[in-house]
Amino acid sequence: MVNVRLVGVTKRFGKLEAVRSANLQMSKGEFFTMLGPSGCGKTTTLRIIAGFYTPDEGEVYFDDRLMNYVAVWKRNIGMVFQNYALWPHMNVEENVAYGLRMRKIGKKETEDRVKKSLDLVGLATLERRYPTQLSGGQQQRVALARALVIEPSVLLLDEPLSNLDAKIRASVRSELRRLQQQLKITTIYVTHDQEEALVLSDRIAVMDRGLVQQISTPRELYEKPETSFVADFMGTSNFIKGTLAAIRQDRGLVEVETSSGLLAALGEERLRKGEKVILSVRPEDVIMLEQGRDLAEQGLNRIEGQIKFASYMGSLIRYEAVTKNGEIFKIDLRNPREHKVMQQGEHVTLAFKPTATLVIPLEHGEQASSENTRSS
Amino acid sequence: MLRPSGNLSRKLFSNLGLLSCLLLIYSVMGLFVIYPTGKVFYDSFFVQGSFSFANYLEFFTTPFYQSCFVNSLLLSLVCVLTSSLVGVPLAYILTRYEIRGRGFFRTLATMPLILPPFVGAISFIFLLGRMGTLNLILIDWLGIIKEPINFIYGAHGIIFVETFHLYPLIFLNSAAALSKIDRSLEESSELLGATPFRRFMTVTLRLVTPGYAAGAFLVFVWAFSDFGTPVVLRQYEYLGPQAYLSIIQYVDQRLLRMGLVMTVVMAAFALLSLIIVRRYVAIREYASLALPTPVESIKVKGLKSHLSVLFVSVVMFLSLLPHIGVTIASLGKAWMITPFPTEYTLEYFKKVTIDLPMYIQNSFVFCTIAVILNAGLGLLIAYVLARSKFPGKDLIDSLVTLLLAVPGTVIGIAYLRAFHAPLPLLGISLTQSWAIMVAVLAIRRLPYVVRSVYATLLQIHVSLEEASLVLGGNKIRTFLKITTPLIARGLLVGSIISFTTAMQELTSTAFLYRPGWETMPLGIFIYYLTGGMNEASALGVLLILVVAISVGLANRLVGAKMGAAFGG
Repeated sequence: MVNVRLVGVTKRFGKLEAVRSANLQMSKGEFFTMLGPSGCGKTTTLRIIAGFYTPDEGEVYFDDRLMNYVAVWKRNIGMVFQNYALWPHMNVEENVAYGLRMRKIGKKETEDRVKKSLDLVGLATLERRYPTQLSGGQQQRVALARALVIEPSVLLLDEPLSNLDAKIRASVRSELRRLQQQLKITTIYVTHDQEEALVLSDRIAVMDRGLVQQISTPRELYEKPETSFVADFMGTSNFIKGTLAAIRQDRGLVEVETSSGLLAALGEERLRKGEKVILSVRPEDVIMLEQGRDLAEQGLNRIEGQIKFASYMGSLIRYEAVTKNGEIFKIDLRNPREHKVMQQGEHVTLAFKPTATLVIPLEHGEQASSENTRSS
Repeated sequence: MLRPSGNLSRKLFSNLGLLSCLLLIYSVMGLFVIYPTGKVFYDSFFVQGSFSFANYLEFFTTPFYQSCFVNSLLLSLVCVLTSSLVGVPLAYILTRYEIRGRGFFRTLATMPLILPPFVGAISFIFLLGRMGTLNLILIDWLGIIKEPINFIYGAHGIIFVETFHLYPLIFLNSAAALSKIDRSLEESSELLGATPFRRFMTVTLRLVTPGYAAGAFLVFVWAFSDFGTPVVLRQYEYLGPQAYLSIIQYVDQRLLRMGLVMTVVMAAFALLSLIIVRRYVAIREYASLALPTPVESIKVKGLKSHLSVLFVSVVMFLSLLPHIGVTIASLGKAWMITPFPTEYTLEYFKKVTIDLPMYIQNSFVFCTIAVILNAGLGLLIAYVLARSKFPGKDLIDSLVTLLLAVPGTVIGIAYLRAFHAPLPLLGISLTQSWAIMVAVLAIRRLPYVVRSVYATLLQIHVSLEEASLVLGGNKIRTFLKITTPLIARGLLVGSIISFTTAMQELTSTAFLYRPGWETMPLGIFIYYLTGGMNEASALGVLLILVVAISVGLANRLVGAKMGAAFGG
């Protein structure tokens, strides 16, 4: 078991900088995920750790050993590929035993370890089968068994669940987590699915266009995003542009002047008056009030809007409302059966607590974002 | 943080494997492709030691050579037309229509490719010559005509023979292209209002064009420079026969120079047609597409069905005629003035096997060694093209594709002239050893192996190799334990095609053989030239058997992929 460190790692393909000056640290036994949209550099980084690419700048360390020029086959890593990469001309037993054969492990020991590994992933009886005779879920488990049987220092997983049906994905996911915690292997996981990342990881690095945006625990990432990209990538967010008007002494609140009026939000002391900021509010934190109705609570932020769309999603209804200034607001109404369902065209007041409103300084992220400015 | 110099030296070292592969590939291609053809070009431009166009001027202003040139050009264009008229409808019928025996006909349609056309021509002398079967039937049995009809001695004969040998190239390519058309492409045109005819013209035909073009190109190049068939049919006013006759005689210098000019002209036209179709023929076009949902077959009825079956049957019959003729001739004695032989015997077979096994032995030895060499080099080239990144990939691709274009006649002549002199470092002249036969057989077949292996490699996802690297296998072990088993099929198909086409090779080996080195096709040719028509036929039958068995074996092992690798 090793810890993995990336120091200032940069990788270019021609003119394209796939990874820019990445600084990452994965502790021994940790489940670390790199999360981001396609092209963000997460797979490139994983392949650098595996040794398929050499960094153009920066270093990769396993514990204290510099790995930049160490050949792939000498790194003692386990890797599960997105397409599993099971060899069709070998059966399950031969696939899993391959790594042990490369290490010249004796016949008896190989047999034992292969058996144990297949037991671990729940495929004990399928040793003689060929990959084409297995289901997607079974293939994935064989790939995992093959990676684990060699007792690697690091386990790398490249979007291993993306080819599975939605139902199986959830159960394999939890099995994966359980297994990792049992074996305590340093695990580095790559995915674009933020729900997966939240469920599996000890810590997550969110990446966008080659840059690491934020590294935090799942909860911190969701509740305290540091950039607008992270705020919108983890779940959904409503964004309001504004200028910092005042800093209140109490409870770490600030006041922000926006086109929808003065709003109160959670902010940090280092913010300065007149600074351009973005406010972020989660759809589940917004309460919709019919015209004329109001809540007794003091100090709520209030914005007027009109409902444009309502999407019934089973456990919640997602509304889209437009404010007077043309901004789009998303509101999630959970437990629809317990509430009044609003109709399209209704005028409503959107209310949310200052403590649910987050300030994101503009210079952290790239630019103020919402659906309008996101380019794929 | 920055370590540029360390990076560079490590990059070079880790790429040592790649560099040595490239070195090997370039050396072989340089020595065996560029040098010989370059020398022929070079020699044709030099008269008594100085550069001049004199040879070309002389060639193009001499009426005889002018007519040879025009004849060859017209002949090959007509052959392309006739092969298309046979091959394209056949492809359409056998792909889109459900007629009985469809699979059987599809297999039969590859039969012409297992017999060299000049052997077919020999059999036609028996069947369609002045005293041939058909004429004698018409004169003696039916009394319809008094004088024999000239069925084969003329351009029409050459066209007939070549068409029914070459149409499979167009057929296979077009059929493969047709079956790759996803049904949604045609359905959308129907939805948008196209009648079946317009849909065929604007969508189907267009989609078949790349495959068709590749086949048409091969037909053109072959017909333009073949000399076996014209010589057998005693037609000499073509570039192929003239080049052959001019080069193998050593005495007349002027004839020799004209021969060189003709060689260059043949090579130039081959190159020209390659450039026109290169987009469709380059090795890298063999990237496999996602498996399409094919267009459904139509159940034809009535007139359409009858006409289709008639067309296919006639084509099949004419395709098999050479084989039938050769078989009868090999067994028939005293077949001078009767439609069919009066006596049957096995003595000719005995003559060419037990009495003189040389032809069969030489063929097997040379072709087997050539195929093994090819397999090795072709595998290397295909792997390097598919998996590595380096500058000059296009060059290797072009060189290998070039080998498809350069006619056998040209390569034979080029090797004769280039390797007659002792090689600089080795001090031996290659033409003194039968190694030259192996070399020319091997080099001409290289594209088949490369294409086949390349296409297979692309279907093997690179992650299968990466998984091995991660688990501790170094590059060599990964190549041996993972890559090689997975491409075995592609390698096998390519090798079998190499073998079967090498067995039939005449045009290049005709310039390079020495007594004792004759292969089966050479044996047939020589027997013909010395009047031993029956012996020639017996050897021809044996050739058919050998090639047919190899093709059958290949089909068994890898199924329908044979057709695809051969043409499209």
